[in-house]
Amino acid sequence: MNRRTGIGRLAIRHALLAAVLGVTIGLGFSVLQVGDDDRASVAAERREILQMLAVMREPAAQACNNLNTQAAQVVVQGALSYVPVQSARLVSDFGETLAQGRHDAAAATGADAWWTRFIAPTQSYSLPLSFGAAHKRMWAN
Amino acid sequence: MRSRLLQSGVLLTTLAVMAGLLPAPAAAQCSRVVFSANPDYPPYHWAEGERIVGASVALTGRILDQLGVAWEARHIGPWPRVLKSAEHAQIDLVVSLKPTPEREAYLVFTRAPAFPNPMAVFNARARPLKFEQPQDLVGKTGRRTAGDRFGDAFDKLAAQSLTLEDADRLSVNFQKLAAGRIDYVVTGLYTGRARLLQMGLAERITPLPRLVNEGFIHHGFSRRSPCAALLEAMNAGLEAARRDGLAQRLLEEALLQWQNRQPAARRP
Repeated sequence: MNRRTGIGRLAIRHALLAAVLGVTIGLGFSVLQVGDDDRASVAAERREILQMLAVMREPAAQACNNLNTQAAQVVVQGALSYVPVQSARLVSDFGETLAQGRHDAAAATGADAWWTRFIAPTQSYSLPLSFGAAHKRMWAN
Repeated sequence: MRSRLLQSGVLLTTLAVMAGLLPAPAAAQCSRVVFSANPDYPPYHWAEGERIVGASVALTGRILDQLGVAWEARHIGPWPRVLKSAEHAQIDLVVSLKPTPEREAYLVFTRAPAFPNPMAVFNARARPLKFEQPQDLVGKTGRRTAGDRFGDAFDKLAAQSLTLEDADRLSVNFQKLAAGRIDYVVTGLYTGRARLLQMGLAERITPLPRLVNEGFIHHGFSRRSPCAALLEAMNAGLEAARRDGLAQRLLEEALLQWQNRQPAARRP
């Protein structure tokens, strides 16, 4: 009776140990995997944003050079049509905002919800602009 | 993105406030006048490389030479950039432009005009437009060069009731008018004619006989420039030039200069 109990206790301990080890190792690898996925996701998003900015560089520079608010608005709307972009602003070298906009959806999706603290914060990108053959004038957006 | 941009905005605002705390530039001396103008407004002025040339430059240069002040006629960029540069005192003087309340906020204008500059509506000869009064343009699609203003009453009507889009260049507006994509272009009568001659469109696009106004264009010193102290001397010089016909002669010479330009130098 006692032996059975002892065997039983040992088996339970082993089972518990195995379970705890399994869960711990599983959690550890999951955390590593999630972290890796997160880094890859952030890197991929960064690449895509930089590509989008590269495409928009020339029209944005032209809008800034001409101080053309209509053209600037088109550029900003173009940036906002890419879903991950929450807000965009085009600033002239005089420090004046030519156009700006943000997704109304960004505010409506509960950006302040508790779970957002576990997600990487919104990244900010700034693109210096130049225009003309001499590239002598610079702007930032 | 938002947070860094906001930081940049705060930094820029801080710099602007600091600039406002610096000693007033009027206390400095004006040893050299840097002026500019609409780079696309022949025969009054137009861009050639890094310079602005034309009747306005010839007239202003003569007056400043008589005053013994060094000067430079600099091509700053598109017309809105020229105005903004004057607002920020990056240049001292904008030559030959129409005074408007909006511009008077940052420019102090000469009382004497530099040149007459009647404003006209241009239409395609194939699609004639009725224009007895500005209200006749309601419902039509028109264009102007970005930054152009035509007088307070017309500008108010344009803002409230007209479909008047901005383009960066007058030539683009005339091309669109010739292609039938818009109904009219508003610009200076002489400027429009000069540009149409150069483009070979003078037979297809014509100014309407009724003018928007019989306007005059003046010189405007940046209020933040120390060279604004030259206002009265410039005023006297412009008055004398108008009285003895110099302004008109220079305008005619500039028109010839514009028409005889080499094709390679045509596009600023």
